[in-house]
Amino acid sequence: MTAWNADQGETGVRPSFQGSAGEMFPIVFKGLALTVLTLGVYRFWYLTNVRRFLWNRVEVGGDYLEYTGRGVELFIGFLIALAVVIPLYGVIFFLSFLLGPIGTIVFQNVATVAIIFLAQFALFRARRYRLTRTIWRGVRFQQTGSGLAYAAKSLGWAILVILTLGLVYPWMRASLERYKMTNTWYGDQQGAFSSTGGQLFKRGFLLWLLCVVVIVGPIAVLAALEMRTPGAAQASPAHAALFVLFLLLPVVFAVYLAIEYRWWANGCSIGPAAASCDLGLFQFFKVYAGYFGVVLLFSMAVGAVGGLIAYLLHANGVLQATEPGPAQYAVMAGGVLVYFVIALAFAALWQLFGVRPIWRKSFESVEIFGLPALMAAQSQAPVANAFGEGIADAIDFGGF
Amino acid sequence: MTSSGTGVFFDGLTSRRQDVHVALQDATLEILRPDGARLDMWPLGQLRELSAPPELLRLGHDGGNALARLEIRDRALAAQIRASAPRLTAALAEERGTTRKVVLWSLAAMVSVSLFTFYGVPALADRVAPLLPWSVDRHMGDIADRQIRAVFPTDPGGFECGASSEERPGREALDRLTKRLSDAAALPVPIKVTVVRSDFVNALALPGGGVYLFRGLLDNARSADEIAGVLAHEIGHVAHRDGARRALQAGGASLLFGFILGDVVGGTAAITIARVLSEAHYSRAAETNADDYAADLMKKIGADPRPLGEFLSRLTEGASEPEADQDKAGKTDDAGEKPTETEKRKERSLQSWISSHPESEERRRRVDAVAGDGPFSPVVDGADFLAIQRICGKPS
Ligand SMILES: [Zn+2]
Repeated sequence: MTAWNADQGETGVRPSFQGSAGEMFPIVFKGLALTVLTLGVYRFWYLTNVRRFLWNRVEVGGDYLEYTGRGVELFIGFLIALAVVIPLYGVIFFLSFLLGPIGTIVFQNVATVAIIFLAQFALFRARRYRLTRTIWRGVRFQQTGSGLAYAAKSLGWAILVILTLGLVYPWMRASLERYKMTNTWYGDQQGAFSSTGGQLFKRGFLLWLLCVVVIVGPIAVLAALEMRTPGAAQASPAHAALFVLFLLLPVVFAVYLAIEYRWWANGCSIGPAAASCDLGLFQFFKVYAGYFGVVLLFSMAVGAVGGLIAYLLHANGVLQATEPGPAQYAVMAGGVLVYFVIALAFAALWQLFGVRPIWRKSFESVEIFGLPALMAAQSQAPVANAFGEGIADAIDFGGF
Repeated sequence: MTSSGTGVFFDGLTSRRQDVHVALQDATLEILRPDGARLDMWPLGQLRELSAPPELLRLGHDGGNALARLEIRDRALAAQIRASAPRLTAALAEERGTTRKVVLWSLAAMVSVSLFTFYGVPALADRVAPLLPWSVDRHMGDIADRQIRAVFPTDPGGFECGASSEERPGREALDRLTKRLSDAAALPVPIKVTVVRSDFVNALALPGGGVYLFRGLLDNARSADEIAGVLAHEIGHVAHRDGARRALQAGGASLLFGFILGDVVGGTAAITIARVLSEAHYSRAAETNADDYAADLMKKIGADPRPLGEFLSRLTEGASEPEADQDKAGKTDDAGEKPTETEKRKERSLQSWISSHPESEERRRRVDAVAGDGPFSPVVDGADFLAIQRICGKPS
């Protein structure tokens, strides 16, 4: 049996993730509850605990990843970001007062560009923070490169994307990912990115066309009908068809995410080790559908309980009082509390049934070749600048 | 005491995985290759437990390569190492301590901020408001006035009633009424009454002497004494500086929370002040005090305070009806007729009056008690009352 892979001459290693929703629940529940209780201050420690759970249970070739980040690092990074961003917002606020109406419009566009630039910078730095806190088999990941250069690059590409009506989007993705991966290191082994914009374009094009048909098609048909006989569009079956097609959009979006992930993972390599991804087209959609189902069930349960409580309160005459009294205040306070608890529950469900399965699929769909050749990798420098992720948190780009 | 087992060792330089033999000595942990050669020796006092999945003990150690790792899956050996390494969990414990401090101090900060917001700021506002120069009130009133004129939807014909020649007599009659009250009140700021062309049944006082009477309120009045009573009540708010007090409270509270949430510029506070002033939603105590003031003021000019109480309770009764009206409106809607926009708005406006002036019956009793008995004379004559009611043109 010699099913040798032509390049590596070996079988790949498939990572696995062993973290059940049941094990994750206490971390998420405690974290979110404390985050609300502390008006958000605890969220850095919560995020750290979630990452420890996600990282520590990823096993590659028999050994688990290690996340060494700490909540206090994120917190200090957040304070640094505040120190940078608040004066910036102050200046924007102040200048938009000083300038006239036209000046204000021009200035607001400039400010938007500045904020996008800063956000890209922050995302790059946040990636560096996460990489430098990731250890596998006693060797640390690193990221070199300049956040400013990356932000300038992505801003330039964004302008190109707008000018070409999105046509060059795949090449933007390829270029930015290439920059990120070639600046990624595992010990002294440099990363590389081999997927091209052309490949993504080819794979995404059909989907893009489908989107155009789904969105523009029915609207055009309706518009044509409306032009010929006003009012016809309302009654026509095209209306119902439009509705159904719009429901398809999330499916298309989830499928696109899977295509893009596969394209990305297939292009990644570090030193002699390269990834190969076989993620199914509907794998991400399944996660979203599952999450949607859980949310639906949860909402129905909450609705039933809420309805019962409202009925009981109504039957006891609490809700009928017109004059505000203690009973009504109690009901109002209860309502606010319930609102927070429900918002909390939705966030928790997303972590448990959205983030966790996507994380698992991202790893388990990948096969890594060439790990033995990586083993001679020599580790380099000590921990880089500790305060990387703060700005991303301040601007609220939370993704991992 | 020596016990031993197996483990996996990473030297922190390469990603080579080495299966090792681990021997736990009295003061050290020896890491041995399968052939018996010693790879490394870690003093027990320098061992650190690192975050790991539950099934393994992940060790690092101070002093050597910070990335070198020893992973032990043998539960018995892990338990023995845990028992004999003194500072194994020191880092983890320290982190837990930090986390606990963060949570506790955040909670403490929240409690003290809440207490200060609910008790400290109102008390402070009560002390500070009377000390402010009246020019501050007038400045706040001007801001609120601009805000209301900019956003408040009125009927066609301009925001303010009483400017056209047809409306002039009403304006003059209202001025006579106002003058009697404001002369008696003798405030350091002039009272400026504005009649707003809107069927809102409401009246509100801005800090610094501005008073808004909405046309809806005039329409509902049955005598000039009722209008005068409401006006006196609003003058009471001006005299007690309730607007400034409320603005200080709301502004102080939102400045405080804005500061915590990072709004250092104070934008939220400014918006809150403007919003609060245009709502003029006072505390119950402020309303009672304004009622007392109104009753006294009416008595001072020899007028009857009781119509204010009657007016209040009549409006409350009116407000409980709209529910029935709404049903009717719903039915006519089914029949294909639109309920008039004014009808809908009237319902809303009545509710808003009630929500800003609750407990009408109680207030009426109080006003009646203060009033005592006559002799009273009407504030203005019947002709003036008719003129005031037509200050926004002919009633529709
Ligand atoms: Zn009042």
